[in-house]
Amino acid sequence: MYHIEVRHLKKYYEVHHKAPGFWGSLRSLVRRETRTVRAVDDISFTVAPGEIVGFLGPNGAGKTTTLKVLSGLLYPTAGEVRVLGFTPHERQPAFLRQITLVMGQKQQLLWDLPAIETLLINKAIYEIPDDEFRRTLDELTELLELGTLLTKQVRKLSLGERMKCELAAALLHRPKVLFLDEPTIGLDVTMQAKVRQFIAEYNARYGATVLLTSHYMADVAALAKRVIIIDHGHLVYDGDLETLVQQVAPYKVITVTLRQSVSPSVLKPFGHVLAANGVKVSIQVPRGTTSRVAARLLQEFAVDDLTIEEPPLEEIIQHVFTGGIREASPDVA
Amino acid sequence: MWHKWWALFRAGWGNALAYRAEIFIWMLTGTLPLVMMSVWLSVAGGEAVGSFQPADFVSYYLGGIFVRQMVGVWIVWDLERAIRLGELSPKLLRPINPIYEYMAENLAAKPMRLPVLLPLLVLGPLLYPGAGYELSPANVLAFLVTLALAWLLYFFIQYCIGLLAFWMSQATSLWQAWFHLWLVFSGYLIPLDLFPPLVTRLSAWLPFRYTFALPLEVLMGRLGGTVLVHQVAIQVAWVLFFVALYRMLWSRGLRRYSAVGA
Repeated sequence: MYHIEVRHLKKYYEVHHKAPGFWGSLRSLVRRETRTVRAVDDISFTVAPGEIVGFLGPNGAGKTTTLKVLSGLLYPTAGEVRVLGFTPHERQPAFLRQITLVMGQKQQLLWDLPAIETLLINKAIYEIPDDEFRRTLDELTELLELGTLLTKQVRKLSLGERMKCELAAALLHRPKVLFLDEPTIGLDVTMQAKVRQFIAEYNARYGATVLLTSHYMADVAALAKRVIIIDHGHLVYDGDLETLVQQVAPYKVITVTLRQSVSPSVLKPFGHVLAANGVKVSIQVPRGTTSRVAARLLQEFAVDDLTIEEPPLEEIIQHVFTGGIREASPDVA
Repeated sequence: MWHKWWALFRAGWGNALAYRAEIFIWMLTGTLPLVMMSVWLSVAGGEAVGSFQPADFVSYYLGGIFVRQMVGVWIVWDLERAIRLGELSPKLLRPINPIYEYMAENLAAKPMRLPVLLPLLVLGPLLYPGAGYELSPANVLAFLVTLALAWLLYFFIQYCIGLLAFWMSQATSLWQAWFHLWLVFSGYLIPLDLFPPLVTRLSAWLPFRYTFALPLEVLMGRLGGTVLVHQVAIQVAWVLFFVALYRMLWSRGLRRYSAVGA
């Protein structure tokens, strides 16, 4: 059985349009112009229990809309959605007790009170027994390194601290399915890494299913084996992240630090020279030949340092958005 | 359910504590009845006006401040904001109807008003001979029942108007319009008995007086017997009407809710 099943999901919005200025306002009084925005347009996918799936797409692609439909906040325009066997928009208590939606931009913590107050409310609302509450709270405190944050007034917390408390509030009832919308937005690199680590840990410990959107490719690369890419409401790719990387970017980048600088033309036979700043040179090399090229470089030059890297994920995704995937991916829906 | 209520209550109380200074300042804005009281006392000039003796004006307006503060609900702004900005979303994710949270928050702040309000009820009769309230156990019970129903009615009316934010962006302006009608037809500005008979009779069928004048008139001992029973029946009917309206608006509104920016 799947934890998440989405079949031919569509979500359209009606948006009012108004020409700017006074006359525009007057005209819109007489005739309201509306336009239909197809935020999600016929998307299908399934997610198995315990899977972590990265949900990618440019701004306005329909990621957040999909998450809102899946968590029951929005009624779908068409299509069928099942989460844990429930129809989300019916918002049955038994369903809500098993899911969570964390929105990096929205919060549930009570602003003027310490975060522990929100946790106590959630304890009552989710009907969490005392001993389980204490156990979960201890675990969350340890995993998120909450320390004494919970007893500080929420408005006095830093953004990162608040996000940690927000996660604690969202996971107190140990949901089976996690929808995470930009959970690391606005956090510094260290905090991002911690939140990421926490999500991985939570998934491993409770076998929870995670559907995650993020602008930070590092989040996705670290957590998700599988990615779903949508653009303009359409599904563009659904599959293995590694396969995607190999298909879209069938090359790696070798960066060498030479003992003395050489002319770029000397390096040309090795591959496409991306950058040559004095002694530091980056060369793009086809995947299959990487080790051979590296060996040759080491042989022919006096090399201080050599690294072989995947091309940046941002670039790959960018490539997919601009249409590079269509011929590359065999499993486009 | 009780421990859920208790948790929401505790948080509401905590919130009220955080805003205690603001609550006090807000209460100062509710002193219009004192002005009305002095106007009527000088108009009356020691004589009765209609069925009101001068002392009755003191009882009415001081009691009016008490009833108003106990019945008052100020959630329409919060609700509109929550709907318009998508702040409702986190509440919708919880397995409990958000209305309970709003109710608990409002009720939890009530006790904070009592230290200011109770002295008013005692002070009036002490300072003005003849002023006072009907404090027999049965009447106090009737007062508390009508007061609780008045709160419930006022709450649901405001909640319904707030829910209109699902469809329009200015639900609070509608509330302001409603509130101006309320000022007249609830008896807040002028006792309903002193209006022309037609207006008095009309007001008996409108919902407004059941959120204010009814408990106040009960407290003053002006209503009893079958009239009281009849009045409570109308009050209950209005409560049921607005609860039904709320249920319809809520289920349709959620369908419309596009969780903007949520």
